[in-house]
Amino acid sequence: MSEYAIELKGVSYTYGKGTPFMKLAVDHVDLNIRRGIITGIIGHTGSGKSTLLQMMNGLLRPQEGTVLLDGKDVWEKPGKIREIAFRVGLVFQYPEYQLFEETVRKDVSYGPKNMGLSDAEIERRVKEALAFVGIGEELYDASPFDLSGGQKRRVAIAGVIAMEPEVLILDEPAAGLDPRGRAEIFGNIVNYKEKTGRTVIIVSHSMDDMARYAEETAVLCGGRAVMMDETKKVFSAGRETLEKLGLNVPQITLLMEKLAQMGLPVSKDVFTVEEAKRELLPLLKGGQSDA
Amino acid sequence: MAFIECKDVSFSYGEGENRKAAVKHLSLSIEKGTFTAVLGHNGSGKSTLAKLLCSILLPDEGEIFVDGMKISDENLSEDDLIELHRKVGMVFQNPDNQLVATVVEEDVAFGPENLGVEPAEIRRRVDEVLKIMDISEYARHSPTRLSGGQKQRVAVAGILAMRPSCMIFDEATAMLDPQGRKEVMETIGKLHDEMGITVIHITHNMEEALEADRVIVLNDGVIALDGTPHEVFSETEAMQRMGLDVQQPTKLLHELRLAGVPLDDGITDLDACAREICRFCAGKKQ
Amino acid sequence: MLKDITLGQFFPGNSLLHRLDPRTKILCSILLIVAVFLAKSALAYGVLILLTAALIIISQIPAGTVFKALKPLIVIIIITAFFNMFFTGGEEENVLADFRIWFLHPVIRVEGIVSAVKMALRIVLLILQTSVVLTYTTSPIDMTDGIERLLSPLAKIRVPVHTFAMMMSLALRFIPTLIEETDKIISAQKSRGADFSSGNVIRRVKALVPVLIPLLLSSFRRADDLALAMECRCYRGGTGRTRMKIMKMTAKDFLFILFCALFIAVRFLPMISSSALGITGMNFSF
Repeated sequence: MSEYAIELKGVSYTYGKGTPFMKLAVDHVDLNIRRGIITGIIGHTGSGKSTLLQMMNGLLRPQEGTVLLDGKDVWEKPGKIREIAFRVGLVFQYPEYQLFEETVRKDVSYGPKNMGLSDAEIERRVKEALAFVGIGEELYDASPFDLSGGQKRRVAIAGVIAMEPEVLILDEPAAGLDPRGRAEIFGNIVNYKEKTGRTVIIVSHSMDDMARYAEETAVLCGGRAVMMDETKKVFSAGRETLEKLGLNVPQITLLMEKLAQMGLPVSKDVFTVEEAKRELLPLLKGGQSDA
Repeated sequence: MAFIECKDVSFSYGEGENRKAAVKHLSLSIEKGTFTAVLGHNGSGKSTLAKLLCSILLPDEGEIFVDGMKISDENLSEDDLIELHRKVGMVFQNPDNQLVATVVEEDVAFGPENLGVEPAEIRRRVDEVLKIMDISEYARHSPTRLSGGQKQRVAVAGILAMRPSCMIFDEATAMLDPQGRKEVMETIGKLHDEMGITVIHITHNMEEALEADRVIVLNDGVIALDGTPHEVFSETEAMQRMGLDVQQPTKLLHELRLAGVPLDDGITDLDACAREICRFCAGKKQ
Repeated sequence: MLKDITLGQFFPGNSLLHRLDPRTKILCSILLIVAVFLAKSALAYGVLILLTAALIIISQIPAGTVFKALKPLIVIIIITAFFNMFFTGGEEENVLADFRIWFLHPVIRVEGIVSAVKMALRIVLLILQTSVVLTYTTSPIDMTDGIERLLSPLAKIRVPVHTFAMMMSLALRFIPTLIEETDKIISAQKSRGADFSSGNVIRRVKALVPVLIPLLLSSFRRADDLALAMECRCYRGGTGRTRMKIMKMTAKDFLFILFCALFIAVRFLPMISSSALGITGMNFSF
């Protein structure tokens, strides 16, 4: 088993080749997605994120380079490319707009059914997937269109989880949700990763989200992967690059920098409130006991 | 009387058993020329309030006045309704679903055309608002090729061309990326600071709400908090209870306080937070 | 995939044809269609071919692009020509070939060949002229405006001309949006293992359900949003509405119409209509 779940080797993709609307979306990207962790991909609109994701699950065929899944070229047998979609589950942005069945249960079984699984197996997977996203049995026979926005989103994500993919990719899973909805979705994703040990990729604009949930982060810009490392290292080494890319540095980081400037002995590489608390408490409390 | 005046307004969706109150006995006045942010989680009634304010919905109970005109009236004449919509513009959430024309400048002209403004005057206004919104270079483009933030600026330009005195942004940043949000917030700043337009910005992003003069937090159809951003965001616990967030520095101070460090709570400004922590440390050393 | 259709597409430019009033272009297209149908003599066809060539040159659109418009219709042209070749009656002495296939007895006569060539030429001329004069050089919005204003007298007898034109321009506005959305939904369902390319017809049609339902729902949602946005921008139908763009027929428009009208007049000039080749008086029909 390869150390990496997905490896991209020099992949490129250009839309509308040979027309006036030609656009180079992904430009010779090398990227290794480590197995069993949450990897973040961050970049602004038009940085080539969506194209990259669609190459990872076999929807788009790279015009150059190769995509390896578990060490094997996914395009080795082009006739079997559909199976790659089952192994690398891709949740698109606003996935609730793709719901179509009469009941939640039926919609979530759509993927497993396409895989040709037995009814019993489908039933088991549907239940498990819906449990992961916190949808209770009382909603199984409800119409997905009667649910709240956040619930719809979670049912749609369950539809992909039910295929039990080795890699789960989510494109902006919390877009447009309020803080509570965001926290729920991310809580579900972290829990899913913990329980199954499977690989997860989250795409986001938000450095806050990356700081809180991603162990490793790749930064995409103009179709190129400009950084890829542990999230902490990316944020501390790449501050200027990230700001240049129009990505907002977390407020808490700015605060800690300010404190360091004011002469407090604190680390500047703090990206979440919890970390800041851990960093500051000994300082503030310690001072107290000395006095 | 204030520019917008809601008196004991209630509104429910649905009928019979499924009846669900969205806004409950809400009273509110908004002064001319102010910038108000309305915060609340999904389903808190904030979008219903926006729809009530431009008479898309009529309240079940209570009265609403806009610029002295009673708009909560079933018998409001068509001309009055048009005048209300001219005065109070709405920018909606989905930038794609509010642009009507295949060319940007034609879209901006749509409002004034509906109002029967003279062609030469429309031309003048369109050029002017395109310039204000900094989208003149896209005047002849198709809106489909613009970014989300640019589309929202086209939508704002289309309303500005009707010479409104108030603009309501109904979650107009929810579907945008950080760049688009920034563009819309800069636009709002321009409308409010330079043009004196009354702005009501409905959102669930607290950083955006920080820029307002006044923040109203809706929860379950009633006003839960109302005050300056500073006043509202110092209510860390109440905010979190309502499924909202406060900005990270405020949250940190709150957490530290809970952990037993006697810091001042309720500081919303980043610099002030830093000063407070430093002050405390300095106090310790002495 | 859905983006490769050139017939009916607009190519921006600044040629004489681009600058003509859309009403002129619509009228002239009609005149030219009539001229093509009235043409009988070889000379008349020759003149029309020259005219079409001249129009293509004036439009400044590359000839290759212009001829691409024929591509989707080539099958229709061939079939029409084929039927004309065999099913045109004529004199026995003009028989060129005589087939006997089972009980069929197709015969090719001189008249048939002439008729086939004319028919094919007609279709080609019609497509080239209308695309060059009208669709390639007129933006969709100008076209709807032109149609609306040409038909505006009908509004007096309660034909909903404005509604029709508004529907057309909204359709034009949303076609690219819906195409994009369709592509997105197809990709999403493919990610869940949808298979659109295998199985028999019934299976393939069934496979489209997961695409069509979300597409339909989203179209309804967009329509709802749009109706609301239009209401908020003071839209109340065509009454009292002005337009930013003033359409004005100039000297060049009148000259162009006069010029096109001449081609019909030509038909009635006996010295040209009497043919040099002596194949007048034949009737063709679609």
